[in-house]
Amino acid sequence: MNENILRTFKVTKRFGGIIALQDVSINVPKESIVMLIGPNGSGKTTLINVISGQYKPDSGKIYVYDKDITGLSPHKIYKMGISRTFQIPLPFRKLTVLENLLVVARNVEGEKITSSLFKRKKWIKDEEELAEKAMEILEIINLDHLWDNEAGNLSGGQMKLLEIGRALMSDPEIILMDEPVAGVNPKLANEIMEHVLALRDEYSISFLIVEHRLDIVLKYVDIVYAMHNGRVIAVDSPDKIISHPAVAAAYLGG
Amino acid sequence: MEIIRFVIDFLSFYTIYLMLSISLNLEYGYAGISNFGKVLFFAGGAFTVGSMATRLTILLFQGRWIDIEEYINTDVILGTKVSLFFAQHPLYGIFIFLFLLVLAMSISALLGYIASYPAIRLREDYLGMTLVVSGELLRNIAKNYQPLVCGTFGVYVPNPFSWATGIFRDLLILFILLIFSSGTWLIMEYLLNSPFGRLLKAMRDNEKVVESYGRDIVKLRIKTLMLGSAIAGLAGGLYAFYTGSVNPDDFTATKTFLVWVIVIIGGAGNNLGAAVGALFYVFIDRLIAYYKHWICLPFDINYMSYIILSIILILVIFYSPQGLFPEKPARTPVIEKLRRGKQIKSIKMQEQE
Repeated sequence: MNENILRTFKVTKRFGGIIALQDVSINVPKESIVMLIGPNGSGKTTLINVISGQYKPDSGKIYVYDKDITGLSPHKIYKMGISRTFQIPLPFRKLTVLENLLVVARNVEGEKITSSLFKRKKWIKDEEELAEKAMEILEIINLDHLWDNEAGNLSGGQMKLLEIGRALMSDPEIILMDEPVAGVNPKLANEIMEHVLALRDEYSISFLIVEHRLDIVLKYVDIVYAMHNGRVIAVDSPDKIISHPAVAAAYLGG
Repeated sequence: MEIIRFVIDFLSFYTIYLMLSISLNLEYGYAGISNFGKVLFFAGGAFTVGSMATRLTILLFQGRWIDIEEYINTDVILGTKVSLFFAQHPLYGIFIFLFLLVLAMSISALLGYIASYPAIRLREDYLGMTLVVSGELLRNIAKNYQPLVCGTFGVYVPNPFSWATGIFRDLLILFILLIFSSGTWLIMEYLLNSPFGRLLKAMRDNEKVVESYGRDIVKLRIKTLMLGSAIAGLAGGLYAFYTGSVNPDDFTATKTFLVWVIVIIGGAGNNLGAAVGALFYVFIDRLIAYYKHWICLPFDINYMSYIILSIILILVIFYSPQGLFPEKPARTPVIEKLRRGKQIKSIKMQEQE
């Protein structure tokens, strides 16, 4: 068994009287694709938000490898090698597709006032390399022909792809994906998941994916956690998870 | 002769408004920070120069500290003496001029930090409100606390270039203003067409995403606001030296909104727009100021420029909501190169077909 890259331990999050997460413990082993399923309102997105630092948990711990990252702010959690995509695509609308990628790269020279003015040669050289890398990523996600278009003019599906491209650009060790294929046609959805597989195999990136579209995504993943009302109700391999009575009951409202 | 005076006056005012609109464009057009307190930082620079020019010169070069009573009662006399002193010692004048400008920038940057501190973490509308209030606060303090800039009557600012005479002096000052404003322009163009400018735009479009990609947006906002405020402070300091006096009532919130209108007419997120917007306003305003005795209106002529400006604003919002010069993607050398490369490629492909 691989070592766990990401681990949550009894994470609890309340919003007023509503318990969004209750003692949620999940493990994401290195180089694996872990999926979170569950009906609407079961706490999947909240878990992603807690892991990525958008919300702070009320109790419980989150670890990257053995480092405790509980309660850190998003920009610090990113530095641990975690990137995320958003359920509703949130491109930088006025930036071009290429710029959307360039802006999220790690350690960009010229991003500070002083370095942008006084280390001009250095950042231009860096940007050349980054642009090359970004173009490669755009080719992978089939957006290279749109590189100079404003991201706000892309179609919904293309924005989803751009979300993934952006996450890739930041050289993550693990990507948290919030509904990467929701609202995308089946062909493109399968392509997206093929990319995910390829990325895991080629770049050793791990994934934690929240998704409703079991028909498409299940066949690509390694481990599935089922959630209901803020709790983990089942953990299993993708072919067996559906046959858990608790999962069937949660989905069918039994 | 009157035409020459008009041109000098027009260009001088233009350089100052250009700096203000560039600084607001940095904050609002690029970084999405609603700085409704622009006048605070403009005033910060002007008050720094106004309150210190005379007293600092006398302290440094004559070793005498002017007490507050004397300062309030005889600031014009003291200031005129300092002007005469500068006429004999040009280098001292230039030293004081540059020193106070640096100080004005620093104090305005500091004010930017202080004024934004309570609200920078909150949503932009709260920050906007905090800044509006801070601007009015400073004006009221200056108006009622005489030791700063002599209260309601304002303070006389000695002319550091009094060794030059007649029209030559005005041309010299204009030349200096042009250097400062074009320098600001160039620096901002370099700064904003870089990864820094791109990051600011990204923050404006979606700060949550920028944060989850590892950027500290609070820090970035504070830095941006401090830089914008420093530029406004420089403009304020130059304004004080140019007009030769500082009066608190010159720094009402109206100034802030004028600069906003300039930026919105010109096009937020594009410095060329800010420059053209400022051109519109200053030209109308100066034209009316110079030729108002030729015009007969049933209301105060001083409101005419606001009326014209607001008509332009309405037309622009109707027909070109993004301003006369809409925003363009950052032009870094790498992007330009890519664009040329891709164009060549696509032309080649067409030829092959």
